[in-house]
Amino acid sequence: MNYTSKLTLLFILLLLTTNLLLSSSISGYVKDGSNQEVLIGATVRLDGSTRGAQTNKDGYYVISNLDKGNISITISYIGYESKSIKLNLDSGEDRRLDIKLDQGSVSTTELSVYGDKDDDKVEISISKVNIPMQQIKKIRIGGESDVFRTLQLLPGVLTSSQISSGLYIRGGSPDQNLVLLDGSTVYNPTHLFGFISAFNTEAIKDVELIKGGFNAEYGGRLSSVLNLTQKEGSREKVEGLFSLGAISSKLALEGPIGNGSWFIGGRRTYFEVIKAFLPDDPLNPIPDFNFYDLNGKITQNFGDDDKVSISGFYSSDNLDYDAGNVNFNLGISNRLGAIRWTHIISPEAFSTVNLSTSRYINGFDADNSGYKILQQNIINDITLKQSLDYYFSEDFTTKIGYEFNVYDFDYLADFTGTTDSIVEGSAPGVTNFPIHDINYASYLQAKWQINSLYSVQGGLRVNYFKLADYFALEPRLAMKYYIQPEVAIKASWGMYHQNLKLATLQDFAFFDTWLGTDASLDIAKSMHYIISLETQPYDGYDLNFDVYYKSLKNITEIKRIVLEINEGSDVLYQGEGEAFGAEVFLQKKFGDFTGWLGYAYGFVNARFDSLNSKNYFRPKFDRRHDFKVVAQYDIDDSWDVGASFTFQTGQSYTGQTSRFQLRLDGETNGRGKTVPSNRYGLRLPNSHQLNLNASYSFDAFGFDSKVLLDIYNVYSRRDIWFRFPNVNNNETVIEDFRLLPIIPTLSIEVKF
Amino acid sequence: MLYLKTILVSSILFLFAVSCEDPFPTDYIPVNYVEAALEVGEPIKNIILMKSQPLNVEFDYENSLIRDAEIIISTGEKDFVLKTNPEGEDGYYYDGDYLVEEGKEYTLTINLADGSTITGTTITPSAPIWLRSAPQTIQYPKDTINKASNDTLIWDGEPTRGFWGISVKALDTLEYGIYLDGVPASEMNRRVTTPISDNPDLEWRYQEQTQWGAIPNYRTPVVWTFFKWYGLHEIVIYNLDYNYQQWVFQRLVQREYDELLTSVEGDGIGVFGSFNAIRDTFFLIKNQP
Repeated sequence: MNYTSKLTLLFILLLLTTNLLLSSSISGYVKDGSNQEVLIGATVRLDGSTRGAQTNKDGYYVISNLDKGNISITISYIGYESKSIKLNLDSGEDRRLDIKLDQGSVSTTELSVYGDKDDDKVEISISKVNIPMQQIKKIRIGGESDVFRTLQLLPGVLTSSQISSGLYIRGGSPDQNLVLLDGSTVYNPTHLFGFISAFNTEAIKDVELIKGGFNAEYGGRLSSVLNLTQKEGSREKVEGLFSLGAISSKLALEGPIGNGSWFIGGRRTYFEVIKAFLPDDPLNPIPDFNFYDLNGKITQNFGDDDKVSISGFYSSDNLDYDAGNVNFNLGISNRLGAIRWTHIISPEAFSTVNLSTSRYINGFDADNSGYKILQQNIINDITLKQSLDYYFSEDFTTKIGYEFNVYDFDYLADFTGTTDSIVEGSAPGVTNFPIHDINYASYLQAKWQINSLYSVQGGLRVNYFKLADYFALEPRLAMKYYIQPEVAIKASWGMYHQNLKLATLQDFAFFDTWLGTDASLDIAKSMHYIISLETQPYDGYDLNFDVYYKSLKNITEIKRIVLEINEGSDVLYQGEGEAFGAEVFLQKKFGDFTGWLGYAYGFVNARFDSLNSKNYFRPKFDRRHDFKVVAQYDIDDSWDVGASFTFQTGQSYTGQTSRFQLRLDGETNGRGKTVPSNRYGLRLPNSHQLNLNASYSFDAFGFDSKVLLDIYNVYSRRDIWFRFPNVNNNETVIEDFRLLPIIPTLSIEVKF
Repeated sequence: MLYLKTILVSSILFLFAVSCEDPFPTDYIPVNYVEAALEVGEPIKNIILMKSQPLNVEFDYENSLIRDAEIIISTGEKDFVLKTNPEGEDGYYYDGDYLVEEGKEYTLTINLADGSTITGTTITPSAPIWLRSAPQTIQYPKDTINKASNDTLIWDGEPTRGFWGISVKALDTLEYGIYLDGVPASEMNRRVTTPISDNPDLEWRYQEQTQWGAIPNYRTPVVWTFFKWYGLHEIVIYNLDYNYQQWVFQRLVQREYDELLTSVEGDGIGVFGSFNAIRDTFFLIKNQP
């Protein structure tokens, strides 16, 4: 199949939409009454029936095929007071109805339950978790609320250590997660070298994690999708928030502009200020460190049917160390700019166009007495996406779209001692490894509610990875069946491909290097099989039970010692793996008492020809049992308290079977070396940790203020990060490198 | 809700019961370890054959050596049967006047007493040449802040795979100045202190006189972190064959043995490589009285 034919096939799916028909309906946006921020996932229900709709990521809903005459609808959303509206519709009328909801509390309990049950009105989602932002903000680790840290408290979401925010979801590594901010990809969104994520919770209004079996709309990753939506900002008044925390301070401002709104929020550390008070020792200097991030968004409406938003995200981490003749600095940054246009073509047809540019860069340079080295990895991604939601009826909805990515990767390294020897191509000690790639994808998915008990969803995603010259078809299938009125069973199957590879060390996000798949590597593939049972055992409680199996092919591990890099396979080993397990998740999203309880039982196995004598091994992050509890309680208008507890099987590590002594020419002692046993064949002690938090709200000089107290690792259980045999002397000493002890922190937050 | 609490408590107890850690293993699986490097222009010597030792007993270098193996190094034209001493830490050697030749292929065959065999092959590399050797004296910077070296070593040659080996050995660890005219011999040496100085508790590393590096260039400034003592030093530039080049990385990079960096086959691990070296000396002068 030649290039033109492939392109033709990819776009043919899109052309199918051009002749779609329109029908009468009610449709519009559901918004927050106080600031007109659109609400994602709000439920619009036709009273006296099971019919209804749910707002999409842009807050849009549509209910079509309505009879003429009087109807009554009820709109509800978690944390908001529900609203009932009576309408008199004419025959064939397409009524535009934008709805505003006021923030409330527990009074919405019953309707919110209905809202949750209608979660799959537009599409069947399996293994999807939504955590309300109000809850994420309360779950603080070390004084910082953090999206990734909160997600790590979900069953089946593992981490490489307590100090890493990397998400290992159902056996998939962090590079297998598609992280989207307003629909645009972010590549390495961490601060503090992985301790927390780069997303400021004040700038995010919705978090959705799909742990597997995701729809055809999403692709390019093997494991999961994390969908974050930035705040648009208040359309009513200028307001803001300032907080002073243990690690960083935050400022967020928002307000109306023209026919829309703006939002800007940022965070910055202030370690420099603290360092100024510490004693200065030139021979043992304290490194300079800072991170900051900035989120911004401007949204404008053009008439009732068009909305354009321009958003940006920037994050940066910098570490500088200068100890006389040895100095180095390290920088990591993410930049994202996006323009998004949503257009209501007709009440039933909703279109989104997203053009974004994302740049991830990390760089390291060092100078040891004039011997200079540098290492740099850059990824530039320009993406154009378009999608069209078409609601033929409540029972039959479709989504069609395409995606066009232009990637430029560049890995640059110079270990020759001079940094002026960079040339195109690779030479001993010098690597200049640029990769240019283009990916195309197109998809179509349709969901059919066969009757009140059965619904099915089919999708097909077609990818073309130009550099690898690989054409990938990805069929996706999901079904839902109510075995009882309150108990639904869901199943999902899908194929997934991933072009991007990440060369990373699991414990450090220092030198993460993204690469495209070149001729020396194979496109990674995965197959997901998921069965899920969903019910509500008590009012307000959602209970999910998921069983999954995931095959992984052409996954990669970094080569630790590389003498020369000319192609991808010089950097990465390629292998295969599988992950399977079961998860139970009980969640309460609303009310004075909120939280969840989750347990996952999982297995991950991997095999590489070049590792572990070709035998299967479990990765370091594999943990058999994973138990988590999160609870938040609003005592009154002033006080709320919370706790999170995790218990996990100990992390895997590699044992050693013997030792020898290696001496190079001229060495008097040399170095002790150990001979490893089965890779990651042993387990460290179980990991468990309790974190507590409390906040007190009060009025300070007319401003809504809060004092936040957090206690990280309450009983100071210091997990082992590494266990290794120290063979620097004749006697072998088993040493444990332990993680953080108890850390209490106090923060202040002021709204204005 | 009581039902839920019961499930919660039972679950935690169950998990504590089943999620046990593995104790650090003391199972001992010995492997034969070979460390054989031929230096061009030098006799065949110091071919180490060792049995790896258990972790739960004190390591004894001398006692871990295997002394009853038959070791033959062959050029295809001639076989060299090696000998070893019954005591000491020296390895096998050829008891003759043969010197290793440049550009020649050598094969190693080890026949152990239990019938197991280890083999390897190396081709000896060409010699590097000095374009600018070390100055006679090098002054450690008085101001250690932001001080780069003005002294640069430059050499030339054809490295086997791009990387040169470099080592600096402190020859004067006890009596600073013994090799300088007019410096009191009574002044005892002391260590160079840097932010990344070794920890005295790490005995071997603390006492190690030789620092090794591998650089993909034919020149280098004097790197201060290579030094532990003031005084006389020997500097060596190595052209390494690929086997020994990998073994240098085996030494430098990680604590755990990497099976992909071995260059012998059969019933053992290790290296059979070769190198061609040039040597020079210089004196490192103190930065402070």
